[in-house]
Amino acid sequence: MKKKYTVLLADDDKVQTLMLSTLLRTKGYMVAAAYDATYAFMVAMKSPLDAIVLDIQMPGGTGMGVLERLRASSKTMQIPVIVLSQSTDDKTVAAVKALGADEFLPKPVDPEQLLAALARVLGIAADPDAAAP
Amino acid sequence: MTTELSTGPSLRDALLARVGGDAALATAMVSLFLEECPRLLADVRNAVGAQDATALKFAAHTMCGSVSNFTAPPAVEAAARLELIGRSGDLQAAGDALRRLEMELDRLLPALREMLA
Repeated sequence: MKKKYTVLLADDDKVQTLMLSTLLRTKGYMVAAAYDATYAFMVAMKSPLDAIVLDIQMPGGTGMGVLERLRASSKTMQIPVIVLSQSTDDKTVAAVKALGADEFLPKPVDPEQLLAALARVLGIAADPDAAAP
Repeated sequence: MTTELSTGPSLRDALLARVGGDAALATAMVSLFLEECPRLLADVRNAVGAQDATALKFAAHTMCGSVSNFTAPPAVEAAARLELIGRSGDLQAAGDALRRLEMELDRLLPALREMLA
């Protein structure tokens, strides 16, 4: 039976989240969405997730803060995190990597880049329906 | 100064290209943005009205991210300018920057509505 990977999209940009969740579902992923930092962290703590796609700037806290908490909790410290940001300067990228982000993608997100990043952090082919065990 | 806005077919084509040709998804994204935009713009206006730099930084950032889903560089730049003003803490130019954003959205929103017609 093929494994269904579950991804949390944590981003207050509802338009982008709609686009990415639709595209991820067509590729065989299960998707949860959170539009603020507090809810994103709560979902991460309560749900079995395979990966988290996390915007740096959200209401109810920051993506940086969420990332810090994810890495500090034994429940979530192993979940791969792909950080999204409109800020692509070296300082920002270095800061999110230092906090334990696995990947960094600039916004607006290229869906193909996100699929490739998910494949890398999950160790699968870009189309999980085709390659999941 | 001239500004570029992808309108009509090119706006639609760019969005369709972004979503792999999924016309239903493109329509849903446009509908959602048209629904969200008044609230996002109100947040920016309120922040400028209150001369609240932190609120402006966040509101303009959210607007910038949302509008960047579409091929509308002038609107994105106008929102990004407001975010920079918010970050700087000096809101003297915020009024003019807000008017610029409103002008760009006045151009973008009808073009997006056309996509739903």
